Amino acid sequence: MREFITVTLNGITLGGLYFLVASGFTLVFGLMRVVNLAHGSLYLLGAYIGWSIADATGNWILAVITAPLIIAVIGIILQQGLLRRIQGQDLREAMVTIGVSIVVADLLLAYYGGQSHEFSPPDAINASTNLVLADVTYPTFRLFTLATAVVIGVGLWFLLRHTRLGMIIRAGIDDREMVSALGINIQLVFAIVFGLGALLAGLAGIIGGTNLSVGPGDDSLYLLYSLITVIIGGMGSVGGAAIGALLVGLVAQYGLAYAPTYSVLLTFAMMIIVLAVRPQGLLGRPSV
Amino acid sequence: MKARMPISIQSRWLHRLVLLLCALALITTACGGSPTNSGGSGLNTGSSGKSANEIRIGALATLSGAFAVDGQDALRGVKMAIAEFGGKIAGKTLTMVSESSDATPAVARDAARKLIEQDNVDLMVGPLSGDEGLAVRDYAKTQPGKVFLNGSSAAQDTTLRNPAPNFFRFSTDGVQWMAGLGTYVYQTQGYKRIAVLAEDYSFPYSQVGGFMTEFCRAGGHVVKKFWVPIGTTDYSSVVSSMPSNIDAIYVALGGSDSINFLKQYVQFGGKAKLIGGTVTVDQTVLSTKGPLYQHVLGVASAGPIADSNPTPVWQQFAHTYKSMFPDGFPSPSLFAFTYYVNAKAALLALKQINGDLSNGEAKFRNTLSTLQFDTPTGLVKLDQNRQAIANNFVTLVDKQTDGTLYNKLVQIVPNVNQTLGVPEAQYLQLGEFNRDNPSCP
Amino acid sequence: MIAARIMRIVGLFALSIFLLTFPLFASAFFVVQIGIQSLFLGIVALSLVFLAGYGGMLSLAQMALYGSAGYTLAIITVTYGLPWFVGVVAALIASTLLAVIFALISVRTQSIYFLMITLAEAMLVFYYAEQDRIFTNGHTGINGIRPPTVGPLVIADPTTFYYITLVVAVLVYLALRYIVRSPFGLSLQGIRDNARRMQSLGFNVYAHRVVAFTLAGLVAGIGGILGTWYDGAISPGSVDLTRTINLLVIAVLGGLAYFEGAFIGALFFTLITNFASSFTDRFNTVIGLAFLLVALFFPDGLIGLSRKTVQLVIRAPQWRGKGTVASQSASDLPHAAIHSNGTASDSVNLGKQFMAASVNPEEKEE
Repeated sequence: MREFITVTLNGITLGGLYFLVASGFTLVFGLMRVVNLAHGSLYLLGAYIGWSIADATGNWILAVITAPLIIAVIGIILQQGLLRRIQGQDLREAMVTIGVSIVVADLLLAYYGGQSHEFSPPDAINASTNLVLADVTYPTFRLFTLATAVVIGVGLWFLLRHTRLGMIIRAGIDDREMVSALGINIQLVFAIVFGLGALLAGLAGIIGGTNLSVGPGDDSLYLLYSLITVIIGGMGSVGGAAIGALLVGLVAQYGLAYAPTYSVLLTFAMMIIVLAVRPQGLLGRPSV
Repeated sequence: MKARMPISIQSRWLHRLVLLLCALALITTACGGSPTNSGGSGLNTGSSGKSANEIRIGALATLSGAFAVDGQDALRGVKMAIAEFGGKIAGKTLTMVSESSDATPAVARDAARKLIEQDNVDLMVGPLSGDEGLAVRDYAKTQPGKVFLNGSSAAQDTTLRNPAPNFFRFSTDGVQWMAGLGTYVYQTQGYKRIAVLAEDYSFPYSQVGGFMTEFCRAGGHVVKKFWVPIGTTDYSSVVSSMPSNIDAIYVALGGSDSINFLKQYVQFGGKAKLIGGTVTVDQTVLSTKGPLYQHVLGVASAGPIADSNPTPVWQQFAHTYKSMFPDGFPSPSLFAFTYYVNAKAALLALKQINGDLSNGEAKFRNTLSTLQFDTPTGLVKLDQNRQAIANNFVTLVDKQTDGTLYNKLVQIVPNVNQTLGVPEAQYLQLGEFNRDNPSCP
Repeated sequence: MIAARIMRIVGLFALSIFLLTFPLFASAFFVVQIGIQSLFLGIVALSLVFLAGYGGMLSLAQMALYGSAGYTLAIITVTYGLPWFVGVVAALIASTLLAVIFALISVRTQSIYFLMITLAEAMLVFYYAEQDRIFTNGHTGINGIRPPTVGPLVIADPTTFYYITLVVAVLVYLALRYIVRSPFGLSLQGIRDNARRMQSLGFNVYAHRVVAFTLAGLVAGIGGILGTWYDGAISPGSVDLTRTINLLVIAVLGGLAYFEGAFIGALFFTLITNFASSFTDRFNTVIGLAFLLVALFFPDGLIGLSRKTVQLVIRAPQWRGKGTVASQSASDLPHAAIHSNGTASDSVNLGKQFMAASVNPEEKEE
């Protein structure tokens, strides 16, 4: 029973991390119809830059605050510099982001090398918590990850539901041209949303990197999991990303605990089932 | 829908053909593909700019991707061997040509082919990883007139099952690398019940197989085995399912994965000790600070080298490595060492035959088969499958006076052969090591 | 006109001579590692060009289909020791069947979704190959695959293998060109341009797409058989994310809308990966940048570049009578004549139009 509780907690906390990564991805797609296949690269950049900042200053908290902001700026530059000029052509945008991801992955490999990098968060969150109710010793950092994901999730919900910007974003997801016709600077909104998506990716990077470690190949891995999460949850839906992330996290951990050999396949199988039954995803909009 | 007009088809064709022709013509002539025969027999006629007074050594290592650092150290080993001979043998200059693979068998094969057929090397040293070794061995069979020596690849089957007559491995394999450890942890450390955690592919199978053969024979019990998919970094569920009544966990993961695992294990409140595979207790692990420090102390491991080997010949080797390569590792890795030994074997044999590579390198092969020499870890000689018989080292993580961790040499197991002392026929009957074999719950 | 026709015939003749005599003047290494590899990679890329350029479906699952054929061939001939033709037939059936399954799951979706779903499908195949012990032998893969000897033909001999691959490549190329001009092919292109309109005209869009995808799976399977014989082995490394993206790079570099682009791209890519490492360690960056440049500025790839070059070189005043060179280019590219207005003169725009085809809001179905 203890094992089951621990594994379930593992799944939920991993789901939290996946939500952090996928939320930015789905938001950018929902509004801008851009599949940012460089999202994984932004994750990796966030992790590495965060690591460098933490390594140089010895202050992990500083890294957690500044690295995502840097990635947000990089994201905006990417969007304005490259993607804006081919706006509206999804396949071409997808290919440009693939090209960017290839280059970024190689350059990061050249700069940081092939071995993994470890983070040193403050001891307070790096220790274990005694979950008295379940009589389980659980890593505090995983709980921290979950807490961060919940805070971000609530923040996004608040942003989308209760702010003017959020209203514009939701309107833009529904009908971009109309929003623009109403006199709103849709390009500015795009830039903000892309920056937000990049910020979330960068934050996920440094959190995910601290959770385990950061190394080459993480970009493809987390991009893949973002894809699966949003395919299951529905593109453009933050709530869908949350549900999808939770499902993927749970299935991954249960699989690893009880059927390790094929655990990876289980997540894919789940995705295929969702696709077969409801192609737009669980909370996705029926009209694409 | 407008149908397409023939005129436009013509112009389209024209454009494409012109391009194709230009491209092909330019490229082929510029890159100078020369009409040599494909079998690679004997005469290397100096195409690709090779002079008659040159012995060209090909080096294949993973110079790109995540293992680039190991590949670079591998090349350092080859350079050290060449330097020992002053860069010349029998009046001919020794040159090294390197090609890169990315730890996949297909690319390794292509790189080997490039070295042999395009770069015109006389012999080849490599590859680095286990599955690549199997691919290169298969390729070697198609090039009987060239000599192939191993780099660091350590899959047992490369020489034990279906060996190639021109593939020589003067370094030990993944099973041999575990010699001595099983007995040590059972008798000296007193671990009786353990669990095993490893990645689900051939090299860990060899490591776990080699370890468990001894451990089970000594009387130990392996209560549970965890085989995780390659590339797993999240061990939280493994940790959750770890049995609690065990003395230790044998972890055959790489250094950074081991740290991940250890971190998660400790955070979940795990109490058992660790035993390391050959690549487990590396620099990443030894430079751990903080709460994991206590858990890394006392981890036993085994492999073909020991950093703290006090013998003068090893110290000399490490010293030469450091002075030749100030930007290398603090101590030569097993990649530098294995590539060095294999390259040195080739050069020793070449020296004995005065650089005579004629007749499909026949003399070269014969000399290599019977060659034995002293390496920084002791004497090495070959068995009938051209596989090395050499010493193995058991190490223990200890701390130095200034608190830094290092691998202390605690035992030398002499003259370990591929079948761990068991007659070959009997050993083969035990079957290939895989997820379920061996087993001693 | 006549000059153009003569040049075309001469060009075709020269190319044929070149390809047929290649083993006679090129080194064994070039024949095998460059020639054969470009050819079978080109075949697989053909399947991608067919789907993307003529079907409007950019699929990242082609290498997985390649792998399914390769693994089936390996399992049948090595693990079970059955004769080679059983292996070949089984391999083709396997890749076709898997393509049908993938198609049934994916073709209801459009452009970007389709891209992502096929990527996920490809990764599924990769992880299965990496994890499974029973059939695929996990990370190590299956070794020891030897091309057969059929009568007097020792297929394993490099020169023989080159000619066989060349013949297969030409046949597949011609077959695909024929298919895209057939009624099926024309309907497929119509669906690519405006699916809703075709649906309202009574065409079964779904069925057309499934058939197209299946056909592409068959072609990828053919490439898989040749590639696996070439390697003598198959492993998960043959179908991983890197190889999947490589195939996309090949097709895009060559020109995603052109069948010839598949082979040009494959040749280019093979040359770079074999020789660039002599110049720099960062050849992945080089490839990524080339890919970026093509996606941003030269969507017609190398073929488009050549077109521009030839346009500059051959001013061809005699073509003015049939309309501008540009309008001919506009009409002979394999996509929407509906969108072209005959004055598009920049190949950038033309390539853009291809990739922009999916943007048309009428396109969106689900």
